[in-house]
Parts: sequence; structure tokens; C-alpha cells
Amino acid sequence: MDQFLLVALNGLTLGSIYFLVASGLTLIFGLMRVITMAHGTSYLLGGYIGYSIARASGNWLLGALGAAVAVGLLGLFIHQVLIRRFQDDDLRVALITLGVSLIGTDLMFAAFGGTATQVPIPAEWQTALTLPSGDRYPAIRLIILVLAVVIGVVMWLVINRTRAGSIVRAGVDDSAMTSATGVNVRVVFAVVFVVGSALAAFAGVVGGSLFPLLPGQDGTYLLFSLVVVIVGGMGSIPGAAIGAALVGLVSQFGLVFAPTYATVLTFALMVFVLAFRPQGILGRAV
Amino acid sequence: MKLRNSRVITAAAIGSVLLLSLAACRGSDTGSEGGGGGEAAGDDTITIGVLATDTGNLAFGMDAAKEAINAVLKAEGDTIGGKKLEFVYEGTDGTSSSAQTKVKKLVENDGVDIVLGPVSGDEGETVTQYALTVPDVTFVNGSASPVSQTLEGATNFFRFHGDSAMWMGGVGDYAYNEKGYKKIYGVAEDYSFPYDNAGGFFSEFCAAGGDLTGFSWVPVGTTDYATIISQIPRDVDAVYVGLGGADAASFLSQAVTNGLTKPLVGGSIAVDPTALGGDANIRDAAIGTITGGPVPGSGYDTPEWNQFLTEIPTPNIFSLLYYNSFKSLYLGLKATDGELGDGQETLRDALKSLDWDSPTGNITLDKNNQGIVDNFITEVQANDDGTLGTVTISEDKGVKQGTTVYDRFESCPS
Amino acid sequence: MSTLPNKGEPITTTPSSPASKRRPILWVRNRWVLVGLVVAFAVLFPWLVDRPRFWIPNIGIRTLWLGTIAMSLVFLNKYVGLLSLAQVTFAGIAAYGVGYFSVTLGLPYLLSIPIGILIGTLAGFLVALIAVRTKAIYFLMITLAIGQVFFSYASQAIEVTGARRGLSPILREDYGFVDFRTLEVFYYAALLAVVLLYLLCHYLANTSFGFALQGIRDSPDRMAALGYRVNRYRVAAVTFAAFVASVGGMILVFDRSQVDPDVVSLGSTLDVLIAAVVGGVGSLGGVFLGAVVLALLDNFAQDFTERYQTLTGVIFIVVLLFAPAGLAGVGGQVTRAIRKRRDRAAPPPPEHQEPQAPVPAESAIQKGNQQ
Repeated sequence: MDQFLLVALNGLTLGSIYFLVASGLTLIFGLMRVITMAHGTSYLLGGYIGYSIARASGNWLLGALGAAVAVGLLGLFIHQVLIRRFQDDDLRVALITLGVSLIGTDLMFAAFGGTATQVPIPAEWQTALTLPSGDRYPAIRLIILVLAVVIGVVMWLVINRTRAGSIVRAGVDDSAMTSATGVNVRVVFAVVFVVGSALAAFAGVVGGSLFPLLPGQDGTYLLFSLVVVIVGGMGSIPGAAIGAALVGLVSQFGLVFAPTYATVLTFALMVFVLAFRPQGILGRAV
Repeated sequence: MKLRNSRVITAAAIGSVLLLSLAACRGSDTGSEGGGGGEAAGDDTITIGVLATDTGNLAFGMDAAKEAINAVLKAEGDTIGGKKLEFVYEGTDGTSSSAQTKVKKLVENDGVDIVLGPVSGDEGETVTQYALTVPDVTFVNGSASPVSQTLEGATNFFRFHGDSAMWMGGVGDYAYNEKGYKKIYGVAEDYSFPYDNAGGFFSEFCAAGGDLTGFSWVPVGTTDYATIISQIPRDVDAVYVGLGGADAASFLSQAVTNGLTKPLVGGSIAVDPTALGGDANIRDAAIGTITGGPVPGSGYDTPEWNQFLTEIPTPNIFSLLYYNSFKSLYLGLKATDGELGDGQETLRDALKSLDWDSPTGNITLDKNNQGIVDNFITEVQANDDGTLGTVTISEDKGVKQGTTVYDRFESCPS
Repeated sequence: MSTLPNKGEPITTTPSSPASKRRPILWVRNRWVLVGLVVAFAVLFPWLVDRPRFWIPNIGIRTLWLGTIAMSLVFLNKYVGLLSLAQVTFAGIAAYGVGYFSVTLGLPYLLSIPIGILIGTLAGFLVALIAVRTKAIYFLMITLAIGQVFFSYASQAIEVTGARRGLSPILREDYGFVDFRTLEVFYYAALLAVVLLYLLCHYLANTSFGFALQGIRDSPDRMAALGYRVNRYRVAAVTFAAFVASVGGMILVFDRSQVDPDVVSLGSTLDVLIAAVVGGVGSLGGVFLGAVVLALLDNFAQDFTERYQTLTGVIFIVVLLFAPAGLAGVGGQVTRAIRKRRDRAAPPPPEHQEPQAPVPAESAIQKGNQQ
């Protein structure tokens, strides 16, 4: 295949994983106006839990669901105990969740060790498919791309086409007004936080199937999701999709044209967007 | 405004009390241990400070170091010439700043006579720099392998194993002559260890007549290799993989899913047991990979190695190197009957003239206090039970250090 | 502490509170006596410890540079309402400046030190241009990400930063009249610099510039309406904080005698943040307490626990939950608690009957009110 198309496809599949992580972050921010710095922790913990379950049961899907449920519950705990009281103090929430991620890093290290592990995937996923162009491409990467698109579309539909979604959107616009109409905004907040954490955990299992899981990735994925939502615009699901695709593409094309500075370029993209559009590509004015 | 005063005052009071009590407490602790660097000669103990990683990606370094030291002590005893060996262990996270803090603590606070360590290359360079400032303390390297360490001219710094370039000793010749690889493309992480490691390989491979067609230096922590793999030219005979740890596992598993069929030449940490024993499906890519390093694979059969395996049944690179390093130090101390001498000169002379058969072959030192050692060329094969393991296919005896500190290169290094 | 407790107050005062109108407990009246005591302790410090060659660098000097960098963070937070995670990056850029101009280009340190500080300050100016237009929470994320840009750059740019190997050796020198190679001389020079910086921060906060900053923090719209160029003030403040951090970077680079990417890693960023939060984000001097605690933990924590990072994280969260003004604020909290009991015992004077407003000093994490 044309080298250009192949690298673009690689960028989009990598972006799919970034999208899955960042969509949870942007959802939480969109509704609650807080940033959870423990998002990378949810990703890595999810990956580890998914790994343990999938390895024990031999079932990948069970691992993914188990990770989402377990980390979702943990998210509920964190929200109720540490975040709820400081709902309006976004900086304090950011710092408290940063503390959570410090602890998480250390405890995950104690539990899962420092060596790399990878979530076992079904053998049939580990083949190469033949693309229309005649080239062969790893099936798992295409599966991940499809998965991300499906989840993104479902999220968009739920938020824009259902009653639950309209409550969420109303909560985004004006939480005081929304609760005045009888909606229990607190429950909505908790649910969104749980869903956001579960999404990160699910992303951890997906990412952990393609790449190894190891200490330090909590920080890496937190940073990448921050970059994605800053580029795409905080609180916007389509924004996260665009941001993730851009970050994925820049990092892969960076590896081709300037491998030394591939990582720098990814961050430089963010600085570039900020310089011209501080609210991000699809963000509302701040 | 006034309210703030009360806070600051109380805080300062708490702080001062805290600091003072800690100072006093540490004082009484360390006072009894006796001896600062170089002052302890004549005491009836020799204090050895051990620096090893206990957090971060190399966290198992500390356990390996302890296992190695205890194996030597168990076989040889912990008293030399009436002096008891005492150990102070300090854990680091593998970064230079952590090593700097901890090595100062060992020397200045714990007053050790000898430092054994560190583990990682980043730490190694900073510890060597520090060694230059404390000439009264003797440093025996743990497992750090930058070429530059023993070229700094520190007369109190000793390394009883090969550097990263020496770890590829013999592999270049083997790849060209035995495997028949003529053209190789390189993929490696972009920092000093892979530079030296790849430099050791390609200087030999190119001297034998081989050609390096191009190199992808990728940032450490790169997980997605799909694009890199698609960059590898179709006309090369093999691919050099200078990656380590998780990055290596990533590459190997994606080499399988992306259908890379070229044979591989691994850098010294590319196909270590952690990569081979992991859960990723790397089988098709890993089998047949040749690599070099200080750890022999199965099939290596000498009395010293077999004896070593009874003491440490499942050695890794750190336990082996700490074993050889500490055993060398131990033999040096034994030769002087525990005497360190003025400015530790007696001990250093003994270490310089050391000549012994380690589990991995004969060890002597060159004029820079750098070991002259054997190196092993191994190949990944499937064991009978289906797991992957390395087999020793060749040895390069008496490998000496070169004088080149390598940098990024895209074609044959001169 | 959620929103802005002192919104209604005249904008030209420091964030005081109803509670500060009360009489403080007797022994806590004079800030400057306290500062003097702390400085006196710092001056005597090398003579109070048994192994100065360990205590001076590992605890003393480390506290000085960590505290200075954290102080620059606190300055920005306290007077501008911005929480910056790039302070250690500015310090690192300044340190790289010294490394590049002296190790690579061979300039004398007397030239490369001012150049380094200038570069670090300039970096702060550039980051400010990009970042001050955004909201407080954005500012936090952006500075965090920008810090990582520089970290990845420093790890890769072999020609400039020496990549992972870094630049070394950066050694202290003997200038005849003063021999910086001696640990004590270096320590006292660093201490002097830190005291001067503290005084400078303090002075600046009480100039019209400082009052304007606080006004902008509390009510940018009103200040804009009054004709202040709000963003210019913010840029100036971020630049000044970068200058303070850069001086901290000078102490750091000569303490470590090398500069490598580790200096600007995520871990170092967190160290500075932890020192600031634990010491007290509302107190310029309190951060040094946080820095001492961190330095001690770094050196000794592993003697009694393997899970040192968990311990740090727990302390961090506990401080944020229960003592948001940090250890430096604990005194105030205790004082208030004592007074509360006293108040309960005796009938409260009339002024105490006004509703108990949240005390801004306790909230400490200042939030700029930006649009």
C-alpha cells in the first residue's frame, strides 16, 4: 500500500485508543467542570484488571467488562468520598485526584510489578487481514478502530438523542437550573463520573491488548488525554475524536519524518492549537 | 495579616523541632556505626554501601543484588581477617538524581568504606562523577554499563564486567560469517545505552564486511512500532533490534502482527527472560534471534557456572553482574586480609592484580580498572516444553574495552 | 472556599478575612521575628548537624532550591490565582542554559549564570503569552503539558541538551575572595539568594503592582473596566515567577553538578507541587517547610517503609482535605480551634456574631476568576 495511507491508518488506530481514554475525561469535564488527574490511573488499573481476568478466564470480553465495572466502582468511591464535597473547587479536585494517582502508581507497582504484561487476545484477532488495496494489515488494529467509532457514535447518540442525554446536556449548561426542574444533578454527576472512569478502564484493556502495560503509563496516558481534550476542546465528544485522531496522526507521521522529535511534535501540536484557538478546535469560548 | 503570622510561626516551630529531633536522632544512629569514608581503617568492621534500584522499571535490581551478595557470603563467610563485613543498602529509582542523593548519603552519612553499585547506566555516569570527588572511598560498579565510566580517569572506580559495547563482542562476526547477514537495518531506542550497544555490534559487523543500510532511533517509551516496521527496507537480510524491556516486547509482538519476517539481531537487553516469558505472542519473531551479552544461555557448561547455579538457580543479568562484582571485591579484600591501607591503596592494588575464574569465565582488569571478560553469543530457541529460552551458540573470550563512546549513527560507525 | 470568598472586599487589600480582625494569640504577633528565627536557624544549621557533608547538600541545599521553585508556584497562586505546573521546567531551562553555555560553549559561569536566568525567565514569558488567556483549570493542564514538551525535547535534543546523558560537569569554582567549592560557602550563598528572593516576593506583593494583581485575581472584569490591561499583568507575574524559579534552578544545577532530563521530569514537577501543597499554598515561607519534609522523606523514608510514595500521596490528600493551607496553616487552624473553645466559654463579643464566613487564608488554593 501507499506508505502514506499505511501511516495514516496507523495514526488513526493509535488515535482510537487515545479517543477511548480521553472521551471519559472530556465527558467528566463537560458535565462537572472538574478535571480528574487520576484518569491515567483508571486506564492502567483497568488494563491490569482486564489482564488478570482475561488470563484467568481465557475470555477477553469478560476481562474488558470486569475492568470497566471494577474501575467504575472505584470511581464511584473516589467521587463520593473525595470529590463530591469540593465539586465547585476545580483546582482542589485536580490536586486531590493527583494525590490519588500518586498512591495508585505506587500500589499498582506493588501489586503488578515493574515488568511489562500484555492482555491476552483471541488468536483469531492476531492475524493480518487483507485490505481492499491488497495489503495485509493487523486485524486487531482494525478491530480497535471500529470499536472506537462505535463507542463514539453511541456516546454521541445517547447524549444528543435520549432523555438521559438531554439531562446531561442541561446539567452542562446550567446545573442549578437543571436541579431546580427536579433532576437530581448529584446522581447525574456520580453516574457520569462512573461512566468516565469505566471508559478509561475499558480503554486500558484495549490499549493493553495492543501494547504492553507497565508502570509509568498512567502518567503517559493522563498526559495524552489532557493533550487530546485541550486540542479538541474540553467537554466535547466530537472534539475528543478530532483531537485524538490528530494526536495519533502527528505521532505516527512524526516517527516517519522526525523520529527523534516524534513525542515533542505531539505536544507541539497542542501548543500550536492553543496559540490560535485557546478553547480548542471544537471547544466553546472560555 | 496577623492571622497569617500565627500560622507561619507555628509551622516554623514545628519544622524546627522536627528537624532538630531528626538531626539528633540520626546523629545517635550513625554515631555508633562509626567511621566516615576512609576513616574506618583500623576498625574491626568494613562497611560496604550497596546501591541498587528498588522502585521504577528496574525495581528487581535490589533483590538481585541482595541475592548475589548473600550467595557469596553464604559460601565464603562474612568475616575477613577478623573484620566483619557490614552492609548498608540504599534503594534508588534508577534515575541520576536519586542515585546522586543516595550515594552521598552512603558516603557522607553512613560513612561506608566501599560503594557497590549502581544498576542503571544513567546512575552509573553520575556515580562515577561523584567518585572523582571522594578519592578515599573505593567504588565497585554494580551492573551499570556506559563505556565512558571507566574512561573518566577515576582511580578509585572499578568495573569487573563488560561495558555495553563489549556486550556485543563477537556478535558482529557471528552475524556476518555464520549467519551470512550482509545488510542490516537498525531500530533502537534513542539514548546512550543503545548507542554503545549498537556501536559495539556494528563496528564489528562492518569491519567484517557487513553494511548498515539505515537506522531508526526511536524515543524511549515508544509503544507503537507499526509505522517503524513498515519503514524497514525489503532488501535487508536482518534487523538489529536495540530495544529493551517493554519497548522490546512491544516491537516483537507487533513484528508478529505486522508480518515482519526478517531474522532479528537483538541488542543485549532485547530478548531477556522477561520479554521471552511475558504474555505477548512474540514467538514467531523471537525464535532464531541472535544476541550478545554477559549472561550465557543454556548449554553453557563449566564447573564454575554449574556451581553458581546451585547458589543462584535462576540468575538474571543483575544478580550475575552483582555476583561477579561483589565476589571480585571479596577476593580483593581476602588478598589483603581485610586491610584497606592508607587511602585504601592496599585494597586497590589487590583489586588491580585480581585474576580469577568467575562463573562466566576469567576476569582481569585493564589499566583503567575495567574488566577484561568473556562474552556470550546466544540464540532464542523453543524449549521442549514450548517456552522460549536462549542457548549459548558461541563465546568471545577475553573481550577488551574500546575507547569509543558512541553517539547516534545512521551508517557504519567509523 | 469554593468560589471567591473575598469578592466583595475592596480590591486593594490582601486577602484578609473577618477572622483576622480578631486579636491573635500573644506570641504570634510579629511575622518578622519569625522570619528572623527561621533564617537564624538556617544559618546555624550546618553547625547543628553531626555530618555536615551529608546534611548540607542532601537536606539543606535541596530544601533551598526545592523551596525556591515551590515559592514561585505559591507566589503565582497566592497573588494571581494561577496554579502553574511548569515552574520546575523554568528552573530546568535556566539550568540547561548554564550547562549549554558553559559545558558546550565554554563560557565562564559568571556569564552563563545570568544568561541561564535570563533564558529561564524568557521561557516563562513565552509560556505566559500562550497560557494566560485561558481559565485557571486550563492553565494547570497547559503548564503541565508544556512541562512535558520540554521534558521530551530535553530527552532527545542531543546537540543542545545532551539528551538522556545531560550536560556535565557543572562544577562550583574558586573566585579567590570566595571559594564556592566549599559546601558551607555554597550553602550560605544559596541561603542569601533565597532570603533576598523571599523579600522581593513579599515586597512586590505590597506594591501597587501586587495589589493590582490581587485585584485581577478577584475580579478581572472590574479591573479591566478600571483600565487595567489584565493579561499584561498576568504575563508580568508569570514572568517574574519564572525568574524566581530560574534562580532556584541555579542552586539546583550547582548542587547536582549536572543537568539532565530528570530535572524537568513529571516526578520533579510533582515534587515541587507536593512541597507547595504540604507546606502551604497560601504561604510564601511555608513552602520551605514542605521542602524540608520532602527532603527528609526522600532520604529517610525508605528506612521504615517500602511504600514511601503511597505515604507521600496520603499525606498530600490528607493535607488537601483537612488542612488546605498546608502545614504552615495548621497553626492558624489550631489557633482558631482554641479560640472557638474560648469563645464558647465566654460570651462572644458582638463582632463574633456575624456569620462565620469561610476563611480565605484557609482555602489557600486561590482560584483566579477569569473570563
